[in-house]
Amino acid sequence: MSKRIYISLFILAVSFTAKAQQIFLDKVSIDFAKTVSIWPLMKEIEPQWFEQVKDHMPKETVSYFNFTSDGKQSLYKRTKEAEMPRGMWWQPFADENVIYNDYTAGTTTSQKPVFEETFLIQDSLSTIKWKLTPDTRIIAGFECRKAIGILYDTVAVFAFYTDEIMVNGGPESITGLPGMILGVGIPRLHTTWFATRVQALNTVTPKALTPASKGKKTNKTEFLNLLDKALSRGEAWGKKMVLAFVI
Amino acid sequence: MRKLLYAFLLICVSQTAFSQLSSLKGSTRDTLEKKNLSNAVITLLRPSDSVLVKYVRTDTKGDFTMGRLDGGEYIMLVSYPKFADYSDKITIPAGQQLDIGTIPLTPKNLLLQEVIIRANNTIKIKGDTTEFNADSFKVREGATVEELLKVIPGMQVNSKGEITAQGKRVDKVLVDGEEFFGADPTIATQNIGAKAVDKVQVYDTKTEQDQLKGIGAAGDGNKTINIKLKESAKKGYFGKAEASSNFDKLHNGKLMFNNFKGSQKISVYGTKSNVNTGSLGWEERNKMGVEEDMEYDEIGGYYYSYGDGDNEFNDWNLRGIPNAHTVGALYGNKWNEDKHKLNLSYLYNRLGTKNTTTTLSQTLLKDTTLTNNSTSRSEGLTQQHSANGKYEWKLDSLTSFKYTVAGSYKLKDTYTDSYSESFRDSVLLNNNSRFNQTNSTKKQLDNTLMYKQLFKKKNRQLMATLRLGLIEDESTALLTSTTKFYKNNLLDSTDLTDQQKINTGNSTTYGTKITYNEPLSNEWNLVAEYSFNKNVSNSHRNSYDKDVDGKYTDYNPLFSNNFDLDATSNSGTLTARYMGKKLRLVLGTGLSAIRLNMKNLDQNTRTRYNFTGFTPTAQFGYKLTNQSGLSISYRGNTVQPTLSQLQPLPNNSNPLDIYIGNPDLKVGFNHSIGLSFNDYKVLSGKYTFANLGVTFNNNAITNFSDVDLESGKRTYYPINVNGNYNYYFWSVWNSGQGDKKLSHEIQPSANGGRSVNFINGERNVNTYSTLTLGYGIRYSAQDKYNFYVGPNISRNLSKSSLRPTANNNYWSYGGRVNGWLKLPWNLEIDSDADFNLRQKTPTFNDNVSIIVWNAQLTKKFLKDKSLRLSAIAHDILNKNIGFNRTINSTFINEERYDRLARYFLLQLSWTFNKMPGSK
Repeated sequence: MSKRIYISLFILAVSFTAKAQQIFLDKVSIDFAKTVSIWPLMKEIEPQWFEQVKDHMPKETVSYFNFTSDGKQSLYKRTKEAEMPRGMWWQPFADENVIYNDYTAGTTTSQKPVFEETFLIQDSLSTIKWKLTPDTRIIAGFECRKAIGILYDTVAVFAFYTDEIMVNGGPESITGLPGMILGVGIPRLHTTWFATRVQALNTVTPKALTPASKGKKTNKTEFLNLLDKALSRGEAWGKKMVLAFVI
Repeated sequence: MRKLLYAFLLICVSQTAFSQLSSLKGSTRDTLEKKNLSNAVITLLRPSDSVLVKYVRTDTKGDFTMGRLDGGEYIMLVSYPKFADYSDKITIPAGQQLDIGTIPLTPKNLLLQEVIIRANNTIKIKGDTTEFNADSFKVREGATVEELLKVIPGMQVNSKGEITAQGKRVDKVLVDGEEFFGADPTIATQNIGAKAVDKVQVYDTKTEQDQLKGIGAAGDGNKTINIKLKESAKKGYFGKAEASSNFDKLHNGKLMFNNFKGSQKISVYGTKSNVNTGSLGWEERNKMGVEEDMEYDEIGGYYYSYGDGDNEFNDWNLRGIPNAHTVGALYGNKWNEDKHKLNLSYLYNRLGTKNTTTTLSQTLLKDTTLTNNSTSRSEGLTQQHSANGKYEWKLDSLTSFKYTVAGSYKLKDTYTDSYSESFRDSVLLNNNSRFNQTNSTKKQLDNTLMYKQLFKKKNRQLMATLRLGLIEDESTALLTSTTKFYKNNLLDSTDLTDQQKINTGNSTTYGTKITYNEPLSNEWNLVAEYSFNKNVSNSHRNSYDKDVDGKYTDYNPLFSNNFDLDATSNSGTLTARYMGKKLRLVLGTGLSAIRLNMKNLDQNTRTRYNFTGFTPTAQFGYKLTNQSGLSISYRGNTVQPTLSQLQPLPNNSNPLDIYIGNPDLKVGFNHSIGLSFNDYKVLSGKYTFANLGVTFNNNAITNFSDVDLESGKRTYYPINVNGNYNYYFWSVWNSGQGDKKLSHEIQPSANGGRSVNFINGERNVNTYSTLTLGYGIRYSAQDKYNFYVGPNISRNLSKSSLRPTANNNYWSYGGRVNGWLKLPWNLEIDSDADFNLRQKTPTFNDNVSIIVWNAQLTKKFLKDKSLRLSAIAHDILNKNIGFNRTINSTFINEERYDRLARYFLLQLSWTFNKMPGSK
């Protein structure tokens, strides 16, 4: 009746002991490194100025985040801010988000400081259109499958997720794949998030999963409209900034 | 039959409308171990575009059920770690449950992959790179890279321009190994001509850290295409041509051309103008790649620039009606991974001006007023050739050298004809007619070599600079002056001067500076700096009177002056700085010893001066938030008298105004205190900024003037006084900017001070201040229109102890209005007006109102709107004059000079560009 297809994978098979019991994790602490490639980003925004300002820009900035989950809910927040050499004309933006996801209820509470105002966005989990690909890649020791998602109908997101971790979450508000996302890339922002370490936990204290509570309450649509009006002003620079805040 | 069909359709419709939700169930099983697999992921994809619809995991028994599904076709993908994916097309009946049964999964190590590599003459395989020789593939004339890729075996390009190479998606297209304008691969493939391509290389997207800078690299398993251009094709250019004229006397032209080939860049430009100095604007300078002299002081943590402060070719300094030409060329190159960088530039300026200045000035004495009216006509021509070079060499990540050289040759010819009259109250004292012609040249060469060494320890840094500067001056001047002195309105005496002045000067400066920064902790740094400077110079200023034969041979020792000067300075500073997250502190002091050794060649005498300089400094900065902060600073510095203040260097270029030196001047000391606050709210666009500063001068150097009430002659020399101070305050508050948002701005500001001077032996204390309040309102709709209205009002106050009754207070009003509007048919109109209205005062009995109103109508042509035709109207009301007014309580001066008033121009401008490798 139906045609059965095997999709072969382009990864050399690692030695596999069939007898070993496959372990699935649900209580995890995952460290992420977020890398923003400033030079190509600037080159895109200000092609005319790039050559003159590049010496005052770091090539890339790396900040560190932690994602902790008990399988049902998760909290993502920064652990170490990006180190900036002195005299650089650069200030990282959208780098202090605290994201709480509740996978059972399908809701999210994210705290996003945007310059002078801190917002508390309460909404449902993100609905990203994902397309799965047969490509895989090993991140932090886990074999991950690549998926390509479309955010806000136009923004491409590359994500690598593993079904060995039974948390359907990811860095920032990138969710919706059947497993834990350990790597994300958003070409338009020249930004990647990659897991550097995955730790299995025995227990997760409720304190480690307490959502942020301070900030001006809003929802995703309102937040996007507000930022778009205040920051984008139709310029390449503002548009990128808005995107970085809303993802 | 027909009825039956309708009934059937109706059933179908209602079936869909009330369709029940479907579900799917099944279980997964390891085919090898014959065990059920728990936690396997079952994913349903939409078959049309493989978008993920829903997923579920199997339970501990390996079973799953997925509910709340719409009936229809799906792709079912089942995955389990280290097992091959299982994929199947399934159809779930509407409103029913589909039992898929047991899904067999196979461990991945049982599957092998087949690899095929194909090669022929036009294709080479080097490691993981496949290289295609572009010329082997036939494409039509004028084809793009995209068309070339379509004919290369194993490559597909779809209608959106997306490329597939060897069955994999191409996520990155590089041009000569570099990203070509961002992440979108189509920019390169659709803009570069196939003819320009030498080779096309295809390789796997790398995952190394350095390849990660372009984000596309994250998708491993994808392909990268590198387009290697033919050497002859790595070229591009852009530029601008502009011409405007009133078809009478005003003609302007501007041509800029920027050509680049790889990292090599050559630019040339030329301008001609009858309305301004023809200097390139800031944006144009940047486009052409003119380097701004901006440097970052890594030790001090601030930026500084040493631009051309007294650039004569700047529009700000323009007086009179110009006739200007400029020609410039730049060359820039980088090589060896940007470790070597070379910049060379040449600029020629030629500025001719014609000007008439009328001046009215008053000196208020205790019980009398001296008035002077003068008119002077001048013509000048200044030409300058300047060449600059900069070479930077980075040996490694820690060591670098930089050498800069700047040379200039300036020729200046001026011709001034002036006439003045002086009165005591209304009694004529003298009149003077004067003619001055000067021809001068100045040659200047500056060399700087900088060495910078960083260390493994963060923030430890050593910087050493060597400087060598040479200046050579030469000038010849003719001065003829006739001054007639009157007594009781009758001619009393006549002074005649007819001299030739020959001046030459030479100066050599060399110096070194060593700065060392030692980090004491993460926050604390200690900076030590030592510098040594030596200047050896000579100056010969000789005046010759006309002899009986009409030749300038009679040496005039009174107005001649020859000396050698040797100046040496040693200085050191020690600064501690704290850079915390919020708090910033700087504490430090500098000490310097300056020795001047002067040899007067006329009298053969030597004079030595020794000064000690002291510069304590303290700064405190606090960051309230990322966008707001507060800072307080104190700076003290000694003020050494200048050589011309110390030495009598008589100058008779204006015989009615004679300046002499004072060898007894003491070193002064200034205390400056500054306070500033800024707050910017990014989301609302609101901002507040306030800045306050006060400077107290101890032993300030001021003038002691002697005015001869009988002749009107003024002689003055510098002396030290106490009690001088000045202050300024400037602030702005803006309600918030944004598109389609009315924004208000309020700008209160003030400045003033107290100064002491002496007139005819009497001490005169001046107090003065100006208070200004400005307001602005702005509204704009992006790409449609914008307008701004900004009026301001000022009160000018001054008072002198010598003449407490004199009232020179007045109001002045001003402002600016501008607007821009986009019209249909690619038309744009924009207009602006500047207002300057001054109230009359007892001295100036007319209200001076200058209103300059300009307007411009532009039509854009061509598809890319690169051609613009504009009708320009400048100073529509014909009110523009150059105007300056100084009121210093006992000295009042008003000056008016020529400026181009009303004119109309028709302007055509075209911008063009060709990207590297394009058709």
